[in-house]
Amino acid sequence: MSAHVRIGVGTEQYAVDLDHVREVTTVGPVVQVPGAGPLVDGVFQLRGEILPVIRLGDLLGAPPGQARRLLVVRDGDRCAALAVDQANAVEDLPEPEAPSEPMMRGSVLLDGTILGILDVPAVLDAVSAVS
Amino acid sequence: MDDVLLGIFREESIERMDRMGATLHAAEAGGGDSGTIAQLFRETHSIKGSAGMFGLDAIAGLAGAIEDVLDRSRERNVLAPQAIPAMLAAVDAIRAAVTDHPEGVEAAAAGLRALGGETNGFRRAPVAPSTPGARAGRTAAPPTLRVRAEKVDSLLASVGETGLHRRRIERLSARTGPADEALQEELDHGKALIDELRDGVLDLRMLPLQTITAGLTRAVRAAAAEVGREVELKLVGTTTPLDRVMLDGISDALVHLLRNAVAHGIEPPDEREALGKPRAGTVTICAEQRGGLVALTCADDGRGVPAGVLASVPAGGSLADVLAKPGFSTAGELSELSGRGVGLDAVKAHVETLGGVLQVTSLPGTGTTVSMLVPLTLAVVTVLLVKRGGQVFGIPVSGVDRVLGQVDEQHQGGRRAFELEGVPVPLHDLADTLGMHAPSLGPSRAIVVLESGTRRAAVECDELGGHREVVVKSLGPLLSPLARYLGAAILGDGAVALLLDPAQLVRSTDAVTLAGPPATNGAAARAPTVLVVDDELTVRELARTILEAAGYVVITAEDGLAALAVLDGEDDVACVVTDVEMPRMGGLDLLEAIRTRPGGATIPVVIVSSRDDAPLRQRGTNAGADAWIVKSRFEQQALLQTIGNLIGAR
Repeated sequence: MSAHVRIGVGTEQYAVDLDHVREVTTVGPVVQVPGAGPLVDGVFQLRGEILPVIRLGDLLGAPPGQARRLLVVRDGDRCAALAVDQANAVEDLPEPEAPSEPMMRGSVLLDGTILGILDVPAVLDAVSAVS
Repeated sequence: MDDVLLGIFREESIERMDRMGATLHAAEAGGGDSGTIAQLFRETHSIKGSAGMFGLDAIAGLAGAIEDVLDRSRERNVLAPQAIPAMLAAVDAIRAAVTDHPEGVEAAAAGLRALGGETNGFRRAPVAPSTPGARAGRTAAPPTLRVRAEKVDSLLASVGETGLHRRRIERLSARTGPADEALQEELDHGKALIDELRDGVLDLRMLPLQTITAGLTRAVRAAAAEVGREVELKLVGTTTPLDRVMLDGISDALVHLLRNAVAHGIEPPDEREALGKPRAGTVTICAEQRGGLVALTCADDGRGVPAGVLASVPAGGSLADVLAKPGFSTAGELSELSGRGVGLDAVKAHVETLGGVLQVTSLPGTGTTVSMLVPLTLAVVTVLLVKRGGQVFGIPVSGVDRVLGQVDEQHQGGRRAFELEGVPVPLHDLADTLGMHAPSLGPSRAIVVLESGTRRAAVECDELGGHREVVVKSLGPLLSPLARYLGAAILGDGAVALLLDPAQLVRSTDAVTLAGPPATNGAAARAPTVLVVDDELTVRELARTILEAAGYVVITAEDGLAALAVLDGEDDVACVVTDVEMPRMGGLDLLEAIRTRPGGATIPVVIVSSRDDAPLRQRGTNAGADAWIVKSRFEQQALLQTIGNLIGAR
């Protein structure tokens, strides 16, 4: 069992390992970065730090939502803000089943809902690849 | 021996001792193999050598004692566990001794000797003086503090934030009505304090060139031996400070230039003698600070670049560009060393990445000088803000040649360009260059001519936003592969501006040639003269480029007193454009002084203020200001129109 943050992207539910989560914040003014690729919405400043905003919905092919919150994630020295619709509950999840789809570490069944466990390093790799 | 070098020795030794400590602790837990012993041996040997050079015999002796223990361990291929505590004690003693606390050296040496075995080769360390700081033969060094580099950078970022915070307070206070003089005084004082703080932090990032010159002497010696030359290396200005981020790359670049100078500049000794030159050639590395730049030059007194190569430099081109063409070489003979040009392209690219310029001058038979002009610091840059498609970008002023309002645009094969000083300059919409969506440009577009080395390219944008000194922030590892951005800056209102790399933008635009004869510049001899008064050089020069492009003759002055001096000597100043806040004499005092001069009542005076402050403005109007332009809304078109109207109406 390990702690995860549950996020809503469009109508879908995912979970992110708390070890990869720095904080949750609201969307401020985002500045476009021409040339950064379709997955990067732009950059914003969080207390003086410049962070890229990633269109997680587009990356996962999730139905479009409002994407009003930002989940700031980290993997080593790589940091980015994932645009999500909700991010609130922190819950303990069992170890996931073997990976089923790209960007996922696997999935778990919780209260009748299938939760994909986001593979944060793979998400950040995908962004680097197209930028 | 220099104190700076001693400081470097201290830092290096502490790092070595930290590594040795960690290795010994690991060995204590898991036993040391031959690799561990070899590593410890290298570190100890380096300390012994450097300490000996500085006459620090006690330290050298103790390092020698560690070496003896390691030597015996090496024979057995295993580090005896019982030796580790004594070695750790010796490591701690050396660390303390390099920071002027040599008290523990003798005890540590005794501990190592007590490990038994033969003590052959171990010279007993001289007894260290018991008073701290009173080491024999040396004066006490000032205490130093070792700080991780990232901590300095984060401190610098905080100072930047503090500056932004002060600007926000200033803006808010201007909004709440009449400027309170006491408040303004405090804000000004705050600015001075923050500037001082920032300079102090920036200074922490600086290291003298000295830090890297030891390797240069070796490189010259090796290169000279390889090609049979006699060469003397002279180092000038080695205390010049450089941003530590820059030092590594600069070191490689200097080695490159030195090898080129030795192999392709300096003639063989016999040839030099026949030419009446001393047998040994001289290569000089010189560093000097020039304003916000550091010039690093490598000059040799050799044969120079062949006349044929000099003649091949195109008009408007530079020797550096010709020599830095990939694969270009002036080497007349085969040698182990690279040709003059091979690798110079890499040096040039590196210098440009740092926001600098590479220059080469050469006189056949006399020698060649290669200069790298790099910014003093990479942490803070002055940028010109431009707006395109509602987004603000910053361009370092070091890469801006000039700003133009209108140009005589020409088309060729779908490309646009215009003639500037007899050379065609390609013209692109900034939005197209970056690949961003933006509404098409309006008639009041501004054109920024970018410069990288000797190449120029121009980009169009919607409007200019003046210049700012900004702290460069990284876009982070995910976006830093985008070479077109130097990073980002946070502006006074908290907005983020992407910083564009002029060198990349110029490179990404293709060179063009123009058909037809160059347009003759019929600058009228009777063009009206405008006096621009501002204490900031970049503002003066920005105004100059805008006004000169519009056909005015421009004179500049750095404050009110200097402006009055200009007016004393010039009869035909048609208009004065002045800043408000300047040292010695501000804009309003200047205005009042002008109005009381004979003939001064009718000269149009335009006030350009960073503050839209009603009482200030009222005072300006009362004193007879003809127009008031707020800097944040500083649009060149508005300025030109205002001046045009005023001069026409006179």
